[in-house]
Amino acid sequence: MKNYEHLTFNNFWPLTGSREFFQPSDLLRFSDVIGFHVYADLRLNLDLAAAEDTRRAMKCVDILEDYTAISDKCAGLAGARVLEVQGERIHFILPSQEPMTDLIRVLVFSSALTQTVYQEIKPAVGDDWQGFSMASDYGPAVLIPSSYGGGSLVSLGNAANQPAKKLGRGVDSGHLALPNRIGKNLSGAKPSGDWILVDVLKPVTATQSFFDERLTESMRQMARSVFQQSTRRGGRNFAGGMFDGLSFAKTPLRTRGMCLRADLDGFTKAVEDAFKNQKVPDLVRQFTDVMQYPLDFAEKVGKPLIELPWAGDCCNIFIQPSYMETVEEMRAVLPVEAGRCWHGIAYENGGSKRWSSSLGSAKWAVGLACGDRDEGGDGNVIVTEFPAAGRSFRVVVGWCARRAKDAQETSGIKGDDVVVPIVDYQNLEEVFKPLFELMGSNYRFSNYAKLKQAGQSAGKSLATSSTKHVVGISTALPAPRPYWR
Amino acid sequence: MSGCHGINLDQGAEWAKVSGMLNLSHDEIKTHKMAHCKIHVFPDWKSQQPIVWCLEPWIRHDWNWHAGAGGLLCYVLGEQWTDFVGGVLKCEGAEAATRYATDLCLRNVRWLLYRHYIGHVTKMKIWPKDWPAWPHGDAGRREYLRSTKNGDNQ
Repeated sequence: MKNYEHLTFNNFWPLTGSREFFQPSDLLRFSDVIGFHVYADLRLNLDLAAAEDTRRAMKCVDILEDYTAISDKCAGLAGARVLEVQGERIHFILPSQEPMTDLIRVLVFSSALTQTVYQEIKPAVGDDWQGFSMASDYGPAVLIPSSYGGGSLVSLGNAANQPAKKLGRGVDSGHLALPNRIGKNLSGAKPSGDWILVDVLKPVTATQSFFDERLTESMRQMARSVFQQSTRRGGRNFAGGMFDGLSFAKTPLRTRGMCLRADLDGFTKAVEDAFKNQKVPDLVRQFTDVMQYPLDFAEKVGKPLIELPWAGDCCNIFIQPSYMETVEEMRAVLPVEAGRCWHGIAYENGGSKRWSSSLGSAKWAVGLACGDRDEGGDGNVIVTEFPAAGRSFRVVVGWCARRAKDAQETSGIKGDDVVVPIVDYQNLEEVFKPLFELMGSNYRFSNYAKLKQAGQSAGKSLATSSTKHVVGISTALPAPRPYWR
Repeated sequence: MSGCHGINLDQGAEWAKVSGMLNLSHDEIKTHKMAHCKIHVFPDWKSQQPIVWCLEPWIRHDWNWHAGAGGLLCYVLGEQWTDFVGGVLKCEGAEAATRYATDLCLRNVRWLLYRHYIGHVTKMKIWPKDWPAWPHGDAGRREYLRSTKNGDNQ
């Protein structure tokens, strides 16, 4: 039986600097924090193709490692802390009891970090630069450690995931997005739906107070010292496959497969209710149980998996082909196999009884992506780990990681759905294509009910057997018809 | 067949054995799926169909799925093989019969294996009723013979 202990954020945070804290244990220590959740998003061309080309792979991993180290040190200068690193996206927390007073701290941190990234990291990125944006929201979040994916700190709360969603929908480079309720009175703000955008790169008279030259200069110095250290790093060796004792931090893995991202559709409501009704400990128990779900999946899907850190209530997994199976073979059936398997856990073989109390009315929505040579990626990824905040953050870089996330976040997706990019739909076995419907112009989706009946649907299309002509021979081959002795 | 390193035959050999990876594309179906197969071909191949085993873990060793122990595949009735291959040999010569026999064997094996594979992926429990197959045992042979008498031997 698991025991739970609530710690204040100040007592909790120092513990997160130790890897042991994230190991599976009978005692789960959690915390909650109120403050600004700030996300920073560095956009590179590199991640799409990095895993296919050694030089670009090296550059991509170097830049992301330096970006993580710089962001971590810069956060420290502004009183913020790194909660999670998801490759190009970094999630900070700036604890605060006074949102109106402390908003200026978010603005100053964002402007100093944005200028540092533009002035120090952008030149190193060169032509692969696509932009840098930030987003922030204020509110409570509960922090739950997880051993999954090399150890991660799962933060649950509206404020903890809304900025990530806003960045996913697009924020202009050099800007910080804030919800209307927080930023609508800021001078120089421009509207963007329910959000406003503030230019945190170029000060104008109205926004001069958001810029702190001394802080920016300190951050830039930090960045330069990180780059100086990284020049001593030397070349990296990539591992071509998994082996016992492989350390992603020392030897990043270059491999091929498919990314799965599963989001608990409807769980936000449970989180909101928990905060409203002061039932956070119940929410922690509930979500700790939910975090067992991918372990069931690993057992049932029967393929080698690489666990990736949870991103809020989203589970991320990299799936590799079985022994003697190729990526080409796997991607032609995995959306059906893994999609059904993932959802089936909640429904089949007593699943509904097992999972109903922890999932409640929430349902999983699943995105799966691989890519191919034409679209890019071809299933290639780099799995690596970066040090920051005294911890180690496992990240996956590659087309499939980004596209699985985009697929799962596609507008209109709901619980029990499975979504794939068009290119992955095209690579499906023909018999499975009718199970997937068009969604927008870039994705196709199916759902658990259809995938469960895939046998019937595929069965109908395979109920054919006909004679066949052989070139140069007058007798046709008979229609295939097996027998039993 | 990929991964196949040719055939060695000793004098007096009772069969030739090949093994390797067989791509399962057939007819209109294009797939990357490969299956590890082992094939025994006999000197009297004109009247005895090659024995084929599939060594993949997804093969159902189940008579309803036309596969026996070790992945032995019942992919063509012996009588049908003899009739068709023998017919081509008689009318169109040995070279044509060799090609025809190869095509008949591999096409039927691919057809059967692909259905096993899709059955495995979709967790089908039984061989669907609308998938063609001869009745089991002698009933199948009788039906085949009846169909040849009626001139419906396709």
